Amino acid sequence: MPPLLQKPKRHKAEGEVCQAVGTQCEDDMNFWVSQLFNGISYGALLFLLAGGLTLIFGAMNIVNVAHGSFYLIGGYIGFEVIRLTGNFYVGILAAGIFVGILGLFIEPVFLRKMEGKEPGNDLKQMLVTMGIAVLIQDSCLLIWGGDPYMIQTPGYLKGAAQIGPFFFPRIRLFIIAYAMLIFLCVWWFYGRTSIGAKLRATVDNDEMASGLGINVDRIRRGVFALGAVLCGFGGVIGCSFMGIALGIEFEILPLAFVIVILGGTGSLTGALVGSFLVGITDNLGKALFPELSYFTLFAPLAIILAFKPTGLFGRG
Amino acid sequence: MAKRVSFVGITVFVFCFALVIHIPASGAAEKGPIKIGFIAPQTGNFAQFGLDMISGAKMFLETKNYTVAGRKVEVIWEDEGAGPDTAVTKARKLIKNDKVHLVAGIFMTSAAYAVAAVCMELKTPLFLPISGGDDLTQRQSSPYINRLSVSGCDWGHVAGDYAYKELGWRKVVGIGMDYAVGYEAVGGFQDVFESLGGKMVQKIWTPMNTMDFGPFIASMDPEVDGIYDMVSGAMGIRFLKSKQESGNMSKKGVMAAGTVTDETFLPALGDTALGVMTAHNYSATLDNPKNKELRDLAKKKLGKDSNWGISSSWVGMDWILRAIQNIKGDVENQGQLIKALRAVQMEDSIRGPLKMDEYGHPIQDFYVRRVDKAGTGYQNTVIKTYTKVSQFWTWDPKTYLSKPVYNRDNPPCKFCK
Repeated sequence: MPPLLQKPKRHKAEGEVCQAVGTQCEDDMNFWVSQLFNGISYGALLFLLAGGLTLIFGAMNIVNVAHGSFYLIGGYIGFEVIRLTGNFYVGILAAGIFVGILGLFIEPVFLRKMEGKEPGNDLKQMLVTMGIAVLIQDSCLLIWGGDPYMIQTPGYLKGAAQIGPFFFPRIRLFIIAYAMLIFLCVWWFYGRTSIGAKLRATVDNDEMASGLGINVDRIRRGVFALGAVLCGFGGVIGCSFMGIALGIEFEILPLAFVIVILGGTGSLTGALVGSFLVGITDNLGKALFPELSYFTLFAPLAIILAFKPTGLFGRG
Repeated sequence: MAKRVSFVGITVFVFCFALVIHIPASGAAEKGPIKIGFIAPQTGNFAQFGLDMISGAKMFLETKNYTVAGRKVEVIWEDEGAGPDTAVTKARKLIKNDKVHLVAGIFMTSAAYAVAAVCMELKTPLFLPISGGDDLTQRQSSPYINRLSVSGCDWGHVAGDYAYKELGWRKVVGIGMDYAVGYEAVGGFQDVFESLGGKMVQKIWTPMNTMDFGPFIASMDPEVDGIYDMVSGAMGIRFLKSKQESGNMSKKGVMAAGTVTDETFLPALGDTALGVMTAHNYSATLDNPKNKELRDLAKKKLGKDSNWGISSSWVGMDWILRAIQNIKGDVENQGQLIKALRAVQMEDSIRGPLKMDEYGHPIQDFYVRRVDKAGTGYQNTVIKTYTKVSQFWTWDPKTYLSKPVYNRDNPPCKFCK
């Protein structure tokens, strides 16, 4: 079988400067830079989803299959609000708030009774959240129909920015900056505030935390909502980049789980590093060995877990 | 106790009433209604296409008052779901339990291949208004299977000719979804384009559910004249948007398969699709009275413009009813029904003249369309018409069929580096 996707051979463009020595260097540099950049920006997008999931998964031990649906519904809400107000950022905010409220409602009503580490709970959670996911998908089909939508980004985020000989799509630059901002905010909240300290205590040992007078229930409710808010933000950003369509929630969910497990459950830094790793591996895998794209994604995961079952930044 | 008695009483009464109603009804019509099973996705990823197909079929049947040749038409609507397995179960149920005279519909190519096998096994005619799959009417053709759709290779053949002759492209990159319809469209394009003297220098197969097309676009040879694209649906939107935002590929022209810029996707594609050209057997903008009638009806009943899904099953239902009319409603004579389904000819359908070749595939007009702004929205403007296109293009069917079907490795990429 002939290779189906080859790295194209390029000729040096006028005025292009090559740092390394060698005839093919500028072509190679262009290829590697754009592929790495794509990988990082895709990773940044995945972080918006995985960041929230790792909090929910780590702090509450909830296997939330409906997490992708939060992303989907965030996208739809963002789409509607942006269409009404014409403001991209208002749309992001509204989606976050809406999905957050949804999270505040779902956790105590459906999930409270099956939290904790008793055997069999994770299976119940999966079934319940799966049900919620299907419910959300069908409701979206009812409200918005099955047609895909695309969120229009402001004009300054369209097209590509040229830096030296390289082109960088502006929307991807925005996603990276945005993900870093979110990471820093949550990291500060998680690591530097007293609520964050209580939260970390709950992640490590909820019984002990409860014994110390921390209101574990309220913390849990808050964490679930926070995870949902992040996911709602991510939905709008993601959908302005890839479009919203039914089914997208289950396409993106496995990647988020891979990242959370790879980075270590409950670890925000782990989720960030994991996101970039998955983004870059997925990108290079697709570009270099498109037939093996799932292998190149899951093989590193298997190897890392074989040596460090708790994930890169997880505590055992 | 009194409640219980009255409950039993009501049940008996309802039962008797039903019997009374039923007896004269079955006595009046000698043979009962003509039963058609219609399978289309109503849930899952392709739900919107399926719902459009059903709307199109229903709108047509309403214009005929669900009657043909003096007999009532009864349609049993079934959900195709999101995979061939559901479609197969539903087809078996329709044939064995509901005893339908004909199975119609089906959206996915994979489901069409699977249901075709069931219909051949159970000896029931299958009519496909929309779904493709080259081999269904080529190497695996059967008298039981007829269709009015486009197959993957049709899209590619027409686009390949147009790209070489009208756009003057000589070097292209082909990108397609990594399953049958992608191989067939890109293969058809390559076959015609290279037979004219062009070169396809890269063939890229993208996995299903690709979220990010960045890596594929960054790998494209920047020296090609254009891109042939068979990545459709939500993925198609992602591809065109990423391509538009990339640096050196953003200026390249795109020729694509018809579904990529279907009217359903135009609002979401927005400016991204401006200038994208597609070869297809329909455009909502086709200027003829029948199409205008359909568009007006769709606006009135569904609140939206006509599209591929709606128009295909509209014509498909028209075709089926004409076939039944031609045999005076005698669908119980199956041999006659099968022949009639292939023998219909339409001189003035909503998309031009239609007839079928001996393999059960339509000989139909193809339109090269370009996405333009129209008022506040977008439309597929027809810029060239290819009349009476055969699934074998200009080749002789026997020669064509002696070659293997277009697949992942065929035709081989001779000019790939």
